[in-house]
Amino acid sequence: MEDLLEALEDPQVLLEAYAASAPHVLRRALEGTKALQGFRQRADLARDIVGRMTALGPRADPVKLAAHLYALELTGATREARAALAKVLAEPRHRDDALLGQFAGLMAVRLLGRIAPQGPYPRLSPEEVEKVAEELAREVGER
Amino acid sequence: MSHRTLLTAAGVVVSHSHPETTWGEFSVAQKMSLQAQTLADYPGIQPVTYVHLNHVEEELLPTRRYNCWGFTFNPRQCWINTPQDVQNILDANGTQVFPPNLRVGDVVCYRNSYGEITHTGRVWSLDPSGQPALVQSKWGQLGEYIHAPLQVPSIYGTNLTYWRCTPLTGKGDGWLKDNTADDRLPCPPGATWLSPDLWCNPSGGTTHQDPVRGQPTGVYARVRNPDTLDITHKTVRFYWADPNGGIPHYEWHEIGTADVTVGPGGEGVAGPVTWVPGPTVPSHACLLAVFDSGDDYHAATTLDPLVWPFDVARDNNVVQKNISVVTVTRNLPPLRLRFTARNPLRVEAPLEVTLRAYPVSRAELEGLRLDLGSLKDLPEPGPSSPPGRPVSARPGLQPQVLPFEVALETKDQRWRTAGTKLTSKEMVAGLGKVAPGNGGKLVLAVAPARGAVPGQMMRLDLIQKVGGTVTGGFTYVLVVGKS
Repeated sequence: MEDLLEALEDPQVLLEAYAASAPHVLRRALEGTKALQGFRQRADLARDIVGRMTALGPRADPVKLAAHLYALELTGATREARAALAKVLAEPRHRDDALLGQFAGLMAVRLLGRIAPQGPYPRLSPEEVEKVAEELAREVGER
Repeated sequence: MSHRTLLTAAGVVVSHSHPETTWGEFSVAQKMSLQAQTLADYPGIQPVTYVHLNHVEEELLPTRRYNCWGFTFNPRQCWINTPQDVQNILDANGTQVFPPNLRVGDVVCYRNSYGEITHTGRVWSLDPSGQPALVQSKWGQLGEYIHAPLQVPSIYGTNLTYWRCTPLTGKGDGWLKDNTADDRLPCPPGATWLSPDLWCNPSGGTTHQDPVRGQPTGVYARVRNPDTLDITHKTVRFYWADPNGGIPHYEWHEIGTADVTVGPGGEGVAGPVTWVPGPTVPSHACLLAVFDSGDDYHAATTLDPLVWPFDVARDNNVVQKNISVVTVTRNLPPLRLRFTARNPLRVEAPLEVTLRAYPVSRAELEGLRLDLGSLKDLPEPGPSSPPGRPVSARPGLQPQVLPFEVALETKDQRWRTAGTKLTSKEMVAGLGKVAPGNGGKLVLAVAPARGAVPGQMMRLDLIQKVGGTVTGGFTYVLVVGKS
């Protein structure tokens, strides 16, 4: 289990993700990273993932943050995933980042069951990201 | 860091950012670790080295400052945010090109199996059949590498297209022409050592006069500014080097610098810098210039940073003037012209020098902005002048008549040639595979052919290729003098 969690911060495992210039490429890099697929349906690991993510701090590496969010999504623990996304998107610097902000924003749209933007490169406007962030924060706060 | 407004040719804004201000830059240890991991996972790729103008070399390690699109379209200055920006640039500024009609410096665009743009880079070299051999690109937050086109992270996909792209507006672009046909893009067609924008003239003229050892002359450069941003008090650096087809940066000898200011859409002349060629300067020297808008490619004040420093063909801030007008008289021993062939690349590669002879007229020389004052006492032969020595032509071409005999006199046994005399319009001398920085010297003995008359002229180009790519050359204009 520890090995699996450590993969989320291992540059060797995440090397292709570091080679991404856009959120859709980052997502495909994470989807193609075998070591991360071990998180699938492992809802029991969600709290550990959130704990490690919190420990990374606000100026954490965006690729590592994205890997944690993706792992949470794989576990199927939607409550923890929404809480983690809310936390990332609450930080304006993260929200506005071309890579992580869009990666997290699009993931939030999916988790909230909203219709994703259309087109070859689905992209949320800054207002849309902010709206999704507010909605997530409200939902998490209501629990 | 720059917060400029970058625009495509269609006036569409290119969104870009500076992630290092959000996340901070990687630590040195992180950079080294990511670099080591990348080089281990992708054996054969070469890290890119940037040579600063003070000759300090820097490996371009992983950084958050710019991505592949930033490298391709606004080199090393920013992170271009989305593939839609790239699509907009290709739509407005690009023309799709297809092998074998590619040029070094063309943009290569990668798409995955979904057709999504994933990555871009620039063609670094072509193979003899015109297919891209190597690509230079920045891998997301990783480093810059030179690699085979498909030796990349699998997420980039295998669908590659090639584009010739004009520069974005708003990034700054001070440039000088490599030759009269230069279109501002990397590696323009034709000899790249005949810049009309670099010249020596002792009396303030705008034509080029060969510098003479021990005599003062003025060195000038013309800087063009097609962008919307001002060029204000930037520097042109002037250099000389031995006549050479691939000059390593450490053999560029600085002559001096001059200030230049050019408004948008204008041209400005930097100079004169007074130069008295010393005893170590060869009688036919290379002249080089660099438009230096700042040597820190990340700095906000650096408009139009150098991308390929000391690389005449690739970088439009860097130019070379390798042309000499030489008068040769019949009653003297043959004139010996020296040329150093050198591999300027970072890899071992086969090196060859092509000697190519052309008849040339005074009108053509005026087009090259050469000072023809030394020819004023010589007659200008007409079409009925007695021919020089006829030489065979390639099938389908008219026989050429050349007024000079050219013999290869080098004692270096490593040169492989089909003979020792230029018996056709072209002759190739090869050295086989040569290590980086190595090469050999060629000595050409030149004498007027029997029947040649004073005033007849011939252009002799020495074109050096390393690994199939032209890395430089020298042009002699030979004039038959009075006996």
